[in-house]
Amino acid sequence: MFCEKAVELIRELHRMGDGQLPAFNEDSIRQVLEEMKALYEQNQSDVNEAKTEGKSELIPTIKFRHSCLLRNQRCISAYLYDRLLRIRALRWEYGSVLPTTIRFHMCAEEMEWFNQYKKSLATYMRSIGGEEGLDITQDMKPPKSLYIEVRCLKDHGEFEIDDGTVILLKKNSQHFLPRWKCEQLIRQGVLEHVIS
Amino acid sequence: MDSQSYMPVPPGIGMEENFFSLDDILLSHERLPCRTESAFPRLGFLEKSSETRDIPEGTKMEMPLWLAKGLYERKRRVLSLELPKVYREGWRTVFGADPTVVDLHKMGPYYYGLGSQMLHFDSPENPEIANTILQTFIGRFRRTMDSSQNAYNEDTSALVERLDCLERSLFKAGQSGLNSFQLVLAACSCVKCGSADENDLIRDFGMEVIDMSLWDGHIDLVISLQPQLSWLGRSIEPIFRPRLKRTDTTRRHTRQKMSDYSSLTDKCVQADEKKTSINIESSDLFSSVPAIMEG
Repeated sequence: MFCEKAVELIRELHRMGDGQLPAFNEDSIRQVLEEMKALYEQNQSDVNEAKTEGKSELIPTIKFRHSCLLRNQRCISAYLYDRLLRIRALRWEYGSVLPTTIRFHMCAEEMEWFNQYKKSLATYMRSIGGEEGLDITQDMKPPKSLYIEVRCLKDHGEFEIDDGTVILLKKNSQHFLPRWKCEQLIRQGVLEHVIS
Repeated sequence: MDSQSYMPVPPGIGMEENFFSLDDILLSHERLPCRTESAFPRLGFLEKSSETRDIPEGTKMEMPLWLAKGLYERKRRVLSLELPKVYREGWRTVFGADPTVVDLHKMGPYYYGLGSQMLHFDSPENPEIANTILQTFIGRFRRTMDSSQNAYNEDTSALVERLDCLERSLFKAGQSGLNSFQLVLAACSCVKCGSADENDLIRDFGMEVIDMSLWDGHIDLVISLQPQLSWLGRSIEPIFRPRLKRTDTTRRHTRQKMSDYSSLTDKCVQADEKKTSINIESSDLFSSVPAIMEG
């Protein structure tokens, strides 16, 4: 059946549901484009034959190939579009400079698109928030972790946290604990929040 | 990589597919048994069982959904499609009896999607099929939603095992709402207990609550009603905005807002601790809760 290669591209992207960018599959795209070319040429000749010799029974076949062409087109468009969505997300996750490993996964045109996107975003950020502009790509989440670094100020003995582990609170020991668990001890003066 | 910034094209609703949606493309790749009602010359090589140059009329073969949709014509007889087992009379009665026990992942992972697409083919059973799909969804929705709102920080594989793809994405949305809300609650409790003060909140969140009109002091949260949490979580997020460079006026403005905010979060945390429910004053937050939840 036609269009299997095209769907492979889609599956490749679908497997990485969290937004990672796989390497640009130039080979597969080339093969899909070749299949499309072959289908198109066969259809061209059949259409001419149907017109000149009146062979209307060829029409279902022509429709068949046409559906395959549309399907290939859809798959490739969706592949490229989804990759652009992922690349756009990269600007928000990694900032202006991308790690080299990721850069190798992008083709030249995608790199060009990324640069243009960066420019548009920078222009927008400069235009809001007064004179210096506003970097909206910073601080996108509430407190980075629900865990905080604490130092023990006095001996307090054993302390159990939610998942069952028992921590021994000795004077001057440092621990990495859930925030809400430490609150009370901080208030009592047993623990001290260490801001690194 | 945090997937918050990657927003793929979602699958289409109902009978429409989204052109760019990866899910819809994979869904329409599913194969269906069908019978050709006209001949397809010169395509014999596709049908491995026949040795002829053409696909003759009346061949039984399996076609992917996208092809069947492309070739199907209401007036001319090009193709006739068989309904997959799950949408036929027998299974429809099973779904009617008790939709929650069926393993929809096994019955083809795209039960709702494929069922909606089958409606394109003008089968006389279309109204029954459509009704069954709808009732199945309604019957199962409550359970999916409840489980997604109550599974925090635990292994959810047992819960999602028997869900089809649409339900799984709903489950994921519920979980992300729940997680976001828990983060907000944790931040609120920091302000409350004094282990963080307002400035800490601004520094840690890096945000400023700009529009307090929703939090007029009249809004109380119905914390005991778990299902609303994800809706609440999603409503809260847009309220936070990125930090603005502060001028003196905005600084004063901010301080006032932050103290309003603290007293509100006090209430939230108290209500949460006592597991009390308080009256809802504003229906705006909850106006999007579907009527399905009532039943």
